[in-house]
Amino acid sequence: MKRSGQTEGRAREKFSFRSYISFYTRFPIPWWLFLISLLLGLVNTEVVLAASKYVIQINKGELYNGVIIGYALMTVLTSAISMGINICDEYGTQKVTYRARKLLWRKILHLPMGEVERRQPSSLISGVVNDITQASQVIHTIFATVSSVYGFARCCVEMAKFNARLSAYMLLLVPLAVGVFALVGRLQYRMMLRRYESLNTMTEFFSEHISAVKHVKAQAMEELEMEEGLRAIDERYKADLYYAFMEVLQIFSNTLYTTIGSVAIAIFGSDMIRKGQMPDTGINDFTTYKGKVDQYQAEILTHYQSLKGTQGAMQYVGVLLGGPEEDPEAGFELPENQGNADIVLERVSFGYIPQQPVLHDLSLTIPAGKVTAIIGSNGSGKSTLLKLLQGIYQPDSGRIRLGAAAADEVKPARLRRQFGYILQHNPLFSGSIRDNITYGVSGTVEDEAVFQAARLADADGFIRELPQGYDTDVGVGGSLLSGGQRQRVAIARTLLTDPRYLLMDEAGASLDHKSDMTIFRTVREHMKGRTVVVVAHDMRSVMDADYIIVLACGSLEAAGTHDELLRTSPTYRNYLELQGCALAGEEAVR
Amino acid sequence: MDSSAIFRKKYGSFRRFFLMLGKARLPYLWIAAYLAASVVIANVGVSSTEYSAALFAGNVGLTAVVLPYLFYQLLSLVLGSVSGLLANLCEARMDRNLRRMVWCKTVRLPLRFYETNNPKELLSRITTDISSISGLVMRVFLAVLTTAYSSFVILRKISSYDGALMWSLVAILPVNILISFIMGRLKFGVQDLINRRNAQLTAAIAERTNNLMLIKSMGAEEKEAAVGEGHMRASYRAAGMNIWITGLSLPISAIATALQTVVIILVGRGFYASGALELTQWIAYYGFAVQLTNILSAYCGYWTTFKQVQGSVDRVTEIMDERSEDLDTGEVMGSPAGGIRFEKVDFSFGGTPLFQGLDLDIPAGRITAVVGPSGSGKTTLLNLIDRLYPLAGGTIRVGGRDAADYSLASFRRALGYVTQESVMYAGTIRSNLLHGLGRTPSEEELDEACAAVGILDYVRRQPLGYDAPVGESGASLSGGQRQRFSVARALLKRPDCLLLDEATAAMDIDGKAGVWASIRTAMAGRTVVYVAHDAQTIANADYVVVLRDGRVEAAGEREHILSTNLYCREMMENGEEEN
Repeated sequence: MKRSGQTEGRAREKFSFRSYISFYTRFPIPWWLFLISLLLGLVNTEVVLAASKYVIQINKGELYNGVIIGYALMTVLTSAISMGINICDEYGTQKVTYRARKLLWRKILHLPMGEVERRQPSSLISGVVNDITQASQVIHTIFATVSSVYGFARCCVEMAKFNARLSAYMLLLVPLAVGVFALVGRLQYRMMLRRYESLNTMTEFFSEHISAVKHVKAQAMEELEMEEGLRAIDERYKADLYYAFMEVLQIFSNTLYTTIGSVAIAIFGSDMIRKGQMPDTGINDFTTYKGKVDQYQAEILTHYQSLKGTQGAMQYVGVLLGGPEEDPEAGFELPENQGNADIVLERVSFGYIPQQPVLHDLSLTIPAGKVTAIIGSNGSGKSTLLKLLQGIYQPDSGRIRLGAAAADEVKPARLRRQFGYILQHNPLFSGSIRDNITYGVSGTVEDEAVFQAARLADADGFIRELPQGYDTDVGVGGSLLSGGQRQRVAIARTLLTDPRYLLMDEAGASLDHKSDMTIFRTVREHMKGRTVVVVAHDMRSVMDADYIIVLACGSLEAAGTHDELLRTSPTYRNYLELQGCALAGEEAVR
Repeated sequence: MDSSAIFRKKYGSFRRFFLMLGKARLPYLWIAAYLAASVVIANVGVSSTEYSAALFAGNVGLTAVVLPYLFYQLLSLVLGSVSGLLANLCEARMDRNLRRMVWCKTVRLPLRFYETNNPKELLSRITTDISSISGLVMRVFLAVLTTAYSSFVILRKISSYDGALMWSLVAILPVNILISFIMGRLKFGVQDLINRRNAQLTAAIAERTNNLMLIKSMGAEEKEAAVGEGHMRASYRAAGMNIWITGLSLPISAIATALQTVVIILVGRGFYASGALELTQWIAYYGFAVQLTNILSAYCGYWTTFKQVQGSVDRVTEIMDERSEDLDTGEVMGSPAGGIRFEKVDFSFGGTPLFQGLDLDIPAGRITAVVGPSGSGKTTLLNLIDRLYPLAGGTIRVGGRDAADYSLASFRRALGYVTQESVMYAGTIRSNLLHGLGRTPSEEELDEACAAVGILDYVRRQPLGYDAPVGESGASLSGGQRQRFSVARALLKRPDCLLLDEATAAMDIDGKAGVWASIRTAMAGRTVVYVAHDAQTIANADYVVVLRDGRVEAAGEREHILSTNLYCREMMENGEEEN
């Protein structure tokens, strides 16, 4: 079924600060780890300062044993404390990641299908894999910022104690630092964006063209292809050039800032030394303190940058977690004797996007215990109808009833378990064939039941010929099996759930027509007395159905038995003629 | 395989790698400029360190120390920027040149290569693998050269203070390299585990997220929540291991560095105490020693990068060693008029024979359907007609001439082929219809082609008409619409011979009928060969070929085959099978 206009930019999510906070209130956070890390960070500042004093002495050539030993001890101590900080931070962050990830994954599994399609699976995947990792950094970064601010202040004080005037000159440089930082931040954003976009464009180009290679080869369009590829490569090259200049500009501004600092220290410091306001080796001492101050300043700015960087991810995760969700266990149970009830649609309308309704005001009845076929041209809403029946989508207006029960008031999980659903292409999950056949059944399953289902789906034969039989791995998405084999396993999987209603959407497509017919004869036999709904293009099997529904542009054109439709539905007659079975039909009428 | 063979293999792959780099037209001039800048920087760095040492020692003469110090500071700033720019430019150009070379090669590889390689992997060879290779050249090969030179300049300076001091320093340095090497290896191993776990997590999440509909319709949400959590726990555990390894590596390397620094200081102290070094020289020596330690610690990073990039190198060299198709040798084909004849054609996929001694006649100027159960070789038959695979034996004749006499490019261009995948590119409807056409048809001709496949109404409904975008790979179109445009594109080429592989399978019943009527009109008197699965489509043929297990089971006039061949009869009675 086609669905256009499903692009909804992630950037334009509605965002409230509340979702930011509510993200962190949904699961326990190991605060103690972050607090320990903060305390260690504060202690470390003192050790770092103590180490700097020894560095200063070494630089002055005061190479006493005490100094050397002190220096070595302090260096080792700092790194031991840093180890503690790292371990606490990392464990805290990993715990947060793990817990948040579990939460988000459950949420995604319970998203309404419409929401899944609006957001697109790829973005949900990167939500679980990447965005969560980023969002989990936030707490750690906030704590680390506090610790860096303390270190910055502490070193400023030490520096001022050593020489207040020179420190005051350094203060004059602070606006410059802020300016450089703002500039660098902007450049960073722009060049990353451009680089990212150009990489995306290039990847899209090659991905599209590599998968279309047969078309290119078949028409000998290699020259054209090569030219277009070179153009895509050159686009990327241009973005790289831009990046080359911008990155250097960025580094230049950063270095310029530190160079101006060193220049100021050299000019004013040498002047002070000449005037006797500072000891001879004062520049050495001061530069060491200045180095520490710069280091903490850089830390603060990095934390700020990374906090800003996590904003997008936080937003996405927050909005996702706060968004709609379906509760599979909310609603009524279905009455036990519901097996043979008609399915009734009452004035149902539905569209994937509001402006483009797929079904309008559709009322019809699918009779219980019979085989019903639905036909109609592309886009007439056949497949959408099947999805609405099992509650994968909810009608925009109108109601679907199973006998006396309104489908929207039944527990979604209960409702869906009543239905078996077989599509043209049915995905398998990586794992063994047995895992796949028993997928929809909870609890342990008898081997005999698995074999029975496989036999019904004409799968038992080929499975037993595989080297590992039912334990054979099917590969990602079932890629190690052929299309027909996949389809048979999927049919066995559905039959094992013992559905009361069986929905088949062009389910025979990847099978040989012969096995198609064999399987469906057995399936039909097996489902005798239960309701089967078939979407098909193949008029010969449609003619065999007990009841036939003709859809046109989301509305009911006609419904009835083969004989009735021959009289009432021009579309039906036309389809029979086009497939060359009109004569047989008309003869039957006469 | 014994160890010497492995060694030989590795050695061989490096030789091939350097041969490939040689072919890639690296930006040698830029590289030379970058290296020159690095040489200047190394020397400026030494002078800069010396002047700052003097300043630190309290030597504040304005012209003797302060001004030269300022000069070198500013010079370092400028030179650093210039060399950074040169490095970036080198890398960008290298990226582009390598990528161009690989793309030009890839385009000319035979179809079989694409079929036996995962498209995602091919994509990453052109995108990420290339970037890692230029990264390898810049950040490993050239970095080894430049850092070696800086080390040399620094050591030369120290030896000018005292030769023995320099040699003592050289004796201590390997300890540092050894330790950073061991730590690097350890981290590399854990990182590898983390990457594997994360890849597994991503794969598991992706597989499930892409099939949420199935999970919902099976009511398996709880089950899948547990499976996902299992992967998340595994990835958490791997990260936990990394925390300890990285955590412990900190104090270990700190102790090692501290010890080394103590030895460096003790060595220097001897010379300083004996008066062989002045205070300024001591400060400079200490500064140099720290710089050298840092430079050498980076060497283990080179090793790690090198290990990581090795896979990329192998994959790219592999492509460059593949054989390209020869597109241009042979006669230029004008028009493929006349019938197509298979004479004792052999063909096999990787060791499994498909066709053995296949004989087949496809009549000229008529419409021929190829039918048969899946796996019988229908699509392969079309591919062989279009010469997309080389024959293992036998000949295919077109109009009596051996097809192999013609150049591949002209031959394939002369035949139209609508493949199963109904290819669309990101762009507009117009750019897709004109893709590879080589002429600009009038608006009326476009209208005519679209009307023939029943899609003109759709185009007219678009606010932008022919200039409406179709999305990446035609994502905003349905399968049936993509097929209609593909057929329209093929008809615009007015080929004398048209091959169609289930080209109308996704269309609805009336759509199919309309499109086949148009094909019949447009291709009147010309040859059409198509693969079909369903009764409705087969009914459009004049002539039918039934394939089974790579053999021709039956071939002849449609009416005759449909009434005599068991496979066809069953299909006509039981209904269609679509794909």
